[in-house]
Amino acid sequence: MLSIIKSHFHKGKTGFLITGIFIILSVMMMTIGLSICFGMDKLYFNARNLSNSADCAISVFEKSGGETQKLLEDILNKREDVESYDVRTIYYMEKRAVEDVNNRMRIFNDKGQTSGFNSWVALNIDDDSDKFKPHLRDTVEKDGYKFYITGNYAETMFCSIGDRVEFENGGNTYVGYVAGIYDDMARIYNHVNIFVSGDLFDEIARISQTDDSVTEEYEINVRLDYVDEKKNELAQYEVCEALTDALGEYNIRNLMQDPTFSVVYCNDYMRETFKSGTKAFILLLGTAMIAFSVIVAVIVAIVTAFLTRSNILDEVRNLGVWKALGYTTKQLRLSYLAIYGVIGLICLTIGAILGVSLMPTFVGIITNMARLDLSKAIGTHIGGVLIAIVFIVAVLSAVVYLSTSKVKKITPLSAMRNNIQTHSFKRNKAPLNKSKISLDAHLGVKSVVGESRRSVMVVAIVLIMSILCSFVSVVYYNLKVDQTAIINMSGVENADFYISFYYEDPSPYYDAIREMEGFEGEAYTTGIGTQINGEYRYGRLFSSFEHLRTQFLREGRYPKYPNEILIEEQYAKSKDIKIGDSIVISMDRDAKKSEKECIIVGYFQNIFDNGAFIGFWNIMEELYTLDDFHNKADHLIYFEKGKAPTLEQIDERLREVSGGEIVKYNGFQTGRNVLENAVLNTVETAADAVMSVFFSITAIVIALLLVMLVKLKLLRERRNYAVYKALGYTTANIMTQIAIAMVILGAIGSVIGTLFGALTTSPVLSLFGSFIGAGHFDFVIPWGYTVAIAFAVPTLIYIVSMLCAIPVRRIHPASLLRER
Amino acid sequence: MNHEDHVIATQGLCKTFSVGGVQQHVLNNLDLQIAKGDFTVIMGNSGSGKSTLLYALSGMDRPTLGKVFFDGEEISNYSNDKLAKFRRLNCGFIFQEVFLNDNMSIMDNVLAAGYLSGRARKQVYADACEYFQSVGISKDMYSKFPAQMSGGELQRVGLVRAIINEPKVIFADEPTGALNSANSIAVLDIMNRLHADGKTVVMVTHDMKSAVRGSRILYLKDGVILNEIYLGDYEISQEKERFGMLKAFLDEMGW
Repeated sequence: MLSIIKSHFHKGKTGFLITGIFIILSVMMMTIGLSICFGMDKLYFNARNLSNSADCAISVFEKSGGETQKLLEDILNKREDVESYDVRTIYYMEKRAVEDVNNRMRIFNDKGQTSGFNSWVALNIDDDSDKFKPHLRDTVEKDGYKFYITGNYAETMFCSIGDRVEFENGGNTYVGYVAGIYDDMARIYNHVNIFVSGDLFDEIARISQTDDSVTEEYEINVRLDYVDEKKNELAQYEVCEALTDALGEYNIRNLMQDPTFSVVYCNDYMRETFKSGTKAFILLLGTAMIAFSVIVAVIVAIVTAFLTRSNILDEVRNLGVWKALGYTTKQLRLSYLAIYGVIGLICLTIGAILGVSLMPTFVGIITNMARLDLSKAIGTHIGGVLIAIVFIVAVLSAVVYLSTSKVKKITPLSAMRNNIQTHSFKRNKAPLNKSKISLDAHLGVKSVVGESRRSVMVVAIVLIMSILCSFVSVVYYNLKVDQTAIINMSGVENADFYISFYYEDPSPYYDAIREMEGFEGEAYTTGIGTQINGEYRYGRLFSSFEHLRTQFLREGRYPKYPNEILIEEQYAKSKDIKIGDSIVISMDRDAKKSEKECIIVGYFQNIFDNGAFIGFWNIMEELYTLDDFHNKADHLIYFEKGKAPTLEQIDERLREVSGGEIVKYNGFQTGRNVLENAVLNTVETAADAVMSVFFSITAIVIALLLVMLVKLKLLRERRNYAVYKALGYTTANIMTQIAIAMVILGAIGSVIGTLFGALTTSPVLSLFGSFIGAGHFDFVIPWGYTVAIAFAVPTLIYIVSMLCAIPVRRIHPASLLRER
Repeated sequence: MNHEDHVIATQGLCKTFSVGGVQQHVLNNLDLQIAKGDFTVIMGNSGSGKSTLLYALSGMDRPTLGKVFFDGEEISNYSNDKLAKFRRLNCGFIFQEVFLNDNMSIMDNVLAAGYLSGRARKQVYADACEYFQSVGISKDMYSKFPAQMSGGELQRVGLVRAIINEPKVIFADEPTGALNSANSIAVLDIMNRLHADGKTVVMVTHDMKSAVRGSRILYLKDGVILNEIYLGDYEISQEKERFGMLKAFLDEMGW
């Protein structure tokens, strides 16, 4: 038996080796993909614990120890789902008494680039009583004040530990350095929270006594019971709502008693915001790895079936002899299973080890996507490794077993007569006498039609890989090059500028912007926490839909009247809400609870959970009682295409309005900045990762396949090639014939594959995306990329085939013919 | 020596193989001339270097030392590609095992060689049809594959493939080695016909019935031509005498 196995192995070494590499690839990718997907459940929880983050937080624009703190603490103390909470003092530095937009706080990185803040919040790193004092990723010791920034900010702005930091206040410059990087799950997108060393914190506290641009405030961080992610997530919403509602009621109560009462504002933060912004893309990477692994497993199956059947046909005589000697069909089939068992065992082990070893690299990619250090939050999942191994073993065993069925038909007598037909004799396909093309090309064509099994296999594999390449290129193009589709799905408006002012009456500033050249229009927007049919849901309101650059609408029409809204499609489906239905939106921030019945006039899509509904600003009229609210809201500013000024140009213009004084903004950023923070940074990282990983693996798979096929062909056809050479064919003639045969198959596979891939990318993504709330992908098909792939694959095939066919040089007719 | 008088000539031809690290001198300083229009038969015992000599003469193999001239031009210093181009126009090959491509019909096997000459494809096809007809292969067999034909038919296909480019010399390596008596006679008759038409033929054989068809018989031993006999052009009526002469010659050679 062992000698039979050895015989099989010696005759198909190259094929086995390459099948082995495919097995390694498949197991490796499945190990990583499953580890990512299985690890998702605990990823955010682990990251919370590793970074010592809160589940949710509220920052209150008032000094600590006051009435509101007691009010909020009472609420938290009464809730059974609050595990712990802590109150910390913070100092808010408003943009004031500085010379330009970004210079109150500046960080200089080692490339000479500067980043900074208009306003920022200082927290004390040396407060050991702080329960949520961050666990630092990296630290460094230098001279100067210590500043600690979030990993998110460091990655976004290309800063790193050790970078010089300057903080200017009241004519004094406080020089220090980035002493450490920390992560904050609850405020992941909030860059302005900067921990500082105790000495600087004390100094800022001192400054706050005299400088009214530095305000003492407090924030409460809350950690909630963790049974599972879903329950924790729900509790985050409930706690934030309870705290903000309590403050709202507190404000109303005081306003009713004293119209001059100064309203206490607050911001609330949830860990869930970060999760909803990153989960889809991390899952995308994981599922893409699994999908790719399954595709490679399919290729393993195709190649194994081809090799096994070819080997049986080549070995008919030997198999007949083995049977004559007394070996049973079962034993002979087992001999094939045994050899694949050995190859499988070795390769599965290598694949699993590689998967485990490469997991940190993929965690690095996830870290880049999430902009949070997840290196210890997710790792290899043993269950994932086992499933990967069992999957490949099952595929391999089934394929080998099925493809050895021909062994049954071999009898000693029939084998001696070699009566298993290896070629179809029904028709002479592509006869040479009808050829109009070059002889080499025609012989290539004959090789294609003459070896149909091999041809089908090559076309199938190239087709699969081309579909994948095309799919990845469409995804890449839409995530990285033309982001219109993903922006439309994001639910984030892509206005030229998001601007809001600190002033009670900001109208002169808005008027100045309106007078700028190229001004096209404006709208104001805000997000509001509401209840829809009694369930907490976030919504977005716009004063106008006239200038929208992001096409939210999936179906229906935009609202025309204040009682009309768009509803998020996935949410609508889950609640069985249809266009034309009415829902009740309510808010109890007011002393008297307000309710409004709204009609659904359309669906919108929102993959980042940026609100369950979109409506007119006028809804506010009945839900909110604060008159000047729109003054504080973000104004969306639109300029004509190509005429949008820079932020600095706007600031310069507005400073003319303020008479040279520094303009005080609540918000001042481009739509692009908003989108980058919410969506684009993550998707671009995902695009880079997916593109580089998948294109390189595709190239490797195709190249390995060709190496195997050409080597196999050279082995089998060397006698024919020797005869060809004797007849006068040159090495170049034969190499060209081999390459042309492969290129023909490659071109068929790649053209069909790329077209199919390009056309089905959006439907396939929509199908899978519907599970995560993204059921409508309208990705643009980049025909340039598609055509490039359709050409690149056959070109790669041509190059690899020619390279693999170089050993034709070593075929000497005399020596091979002498071998008879 | 004036090599221009001969279609093929060798000068100090040596061929050495290394087998398991041991040098085997298969051809030893061999000088040979083959005249245009001759039917030369190379005989000798197994391992005497017959096939090696044939391959060296046809430019299919390169000598270790010495020179090979074809039509007065030295071919032993040609590159592999130049030798391939030389063979396609000047040499026709007939092998014992025929070596047709199993994936191609017999017509395609012939055309795959014929189209290499660069002649008009229609002309090549017409020639192939004519040659097939002359060797007794009918039109309905053109699209058959090698596996569907008998050994004798295959060797006739091999013959057609050898002559499709109208080579100057036909090289035959044991052309009847795998054939039965009737098929052997048919193939040898065709070769004699080709010779009668003016073709130069060089044939390696260890079969006396085949060898007797040649006009000049060389006997090779230990890599050198031990002796030769000239029988003159073949005529069936003289076969018995020719056979006797050949047998006496071979007996003398210790065959």
